[in-house]
Amino acid sequence: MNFTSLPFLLALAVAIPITYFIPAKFKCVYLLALSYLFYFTWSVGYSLLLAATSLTTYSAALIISNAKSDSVKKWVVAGAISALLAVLVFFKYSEALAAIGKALTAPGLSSVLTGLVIPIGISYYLFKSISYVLDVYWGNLEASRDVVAVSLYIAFFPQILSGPIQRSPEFFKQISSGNFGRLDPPAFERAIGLLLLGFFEKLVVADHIGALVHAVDAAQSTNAYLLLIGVYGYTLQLFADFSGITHIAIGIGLFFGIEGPPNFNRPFRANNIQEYWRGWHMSLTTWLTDYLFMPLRLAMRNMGNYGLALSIMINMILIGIWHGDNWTFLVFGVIHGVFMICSALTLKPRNTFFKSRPTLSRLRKVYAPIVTFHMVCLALIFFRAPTVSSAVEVIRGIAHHQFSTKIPPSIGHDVLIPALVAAVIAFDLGTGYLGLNRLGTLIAGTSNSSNRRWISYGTALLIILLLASTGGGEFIYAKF
Amino acid sequence: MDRNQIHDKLTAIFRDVLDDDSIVLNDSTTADDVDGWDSLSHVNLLVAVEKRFAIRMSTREVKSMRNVGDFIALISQKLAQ
Repeated sequence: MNFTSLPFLLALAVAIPITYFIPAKFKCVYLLALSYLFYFTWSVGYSLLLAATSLTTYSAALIISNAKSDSVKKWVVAGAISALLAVLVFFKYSEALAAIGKALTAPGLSSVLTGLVIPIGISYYLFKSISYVLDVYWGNLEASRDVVAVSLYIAFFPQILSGPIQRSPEFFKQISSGNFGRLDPPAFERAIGLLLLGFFEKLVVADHIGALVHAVDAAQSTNAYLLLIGVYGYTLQLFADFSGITHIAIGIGLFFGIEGPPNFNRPFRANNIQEYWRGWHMSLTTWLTDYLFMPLRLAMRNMGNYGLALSIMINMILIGIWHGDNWTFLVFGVIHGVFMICSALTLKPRNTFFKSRPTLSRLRKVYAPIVTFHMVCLALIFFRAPTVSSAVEVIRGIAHHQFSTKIPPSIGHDVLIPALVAAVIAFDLGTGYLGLNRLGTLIAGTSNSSNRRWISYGTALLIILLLASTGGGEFIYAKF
Repeated sequence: MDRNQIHDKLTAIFRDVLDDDSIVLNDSTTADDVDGWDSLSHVNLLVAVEKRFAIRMSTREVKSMRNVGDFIALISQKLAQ
């Protein structure tokens, strides 16, 4: 069931009020049951994998916590992380592994892996499991003895489709608070605001831009204007779509007393690529910084800048191929790796250079976000393309400067105008430059006056119902 | 080396690595409290600390530190070994 489907919303409308009547000690059981019911709507069979992952994570953390000897802890943590990663690699890269199996003339392996469907949410729940085990191993957290709590942390349904990837200490703190799952009017209202904002971003903004991007793709034109519309459009659509599902996920969680971490912080006003990654898919990038980049960087800390560059490149390549086994994701990761390395190594001298040149420094404030935005767009051409060569074709098409103001008849004004308005809103949601972002805060309800807030929620709902795109599809990030 | 001496030496390292003479550390200071103390500069700090105190820290020890107080305790424990 998708978050924007009517059956899901109806089920949610029933499940939310019930939670406030469930006695405190059964609240986690109730949420766990809901989470598995939700998962059953995607796949009953794969829910066994989810349960097995949860039990493995729970047991490994307890063994690590209780073990007296450091070597036992080390072996268990290595075993658990390897097992969790093996599951991730097996399902996520099944096609690549099948190709390897074929090349190695191992038809058994190849036939098992061919056509394997990726379990929904696997990247998200395995990342949660891995961080929980590592946090216990690093002594940042006591292992929980409550199997329901650990299973709920891993399977919590609002976060399973596309994150955000919540950390275990934050999650356990919330479910162990005395007020957990009690009706809290301000939180309830905030949840409504987040839900409306998320639906607005997805149905009104992302899906209208998506319709144009789709129409441009279908036109298969070499007109550079259209290619650029496709490139900019997809960047804005991806942001609005992903920010939308994140707001919906945080909103739904909040109804049940669990608030997830934010995923975006105005990524398109970043002055450099490092800043961009600090504001884009934050729950993944901070996860990777803590559990991958930092251990790598520490292991290579005496290798100077080479160690830094290597850690960054491995990190960015893994961000890329985390999305799937297409070569395009690898290229996406390498491009960002090169950008990040150049930026990290030159940032200090660049800052020193501009410090003593105030005019240039002012100019830098204007062009830096524009350059960064285009770097992001460039990498996303590969991210979106079905093959590396088709991405190169798009870049070549733009570089050839075949600009024509002639728009194919398949891209009508009914597609073009809503998409352009939506693109302006998406750009503003990602930058806050135009002041339209007040729209976002208005929908999410920040006014001191309760009446005014409820009027804005009502208006937002009306806007969503009236302006929602009818041709919208699944959330882009649900497939990762 | 006692706790105060470690604290002073650590403050000097922070000021040097982060290029900011106004940095004042206390036990509860975390990365959020100090400008420029991010994941990249954190490693530079660790390398400088290891060099100047002639100690070696494991990934697990580094990851278990929550604030400057933990940092000082770890250095002190390493020096005593």
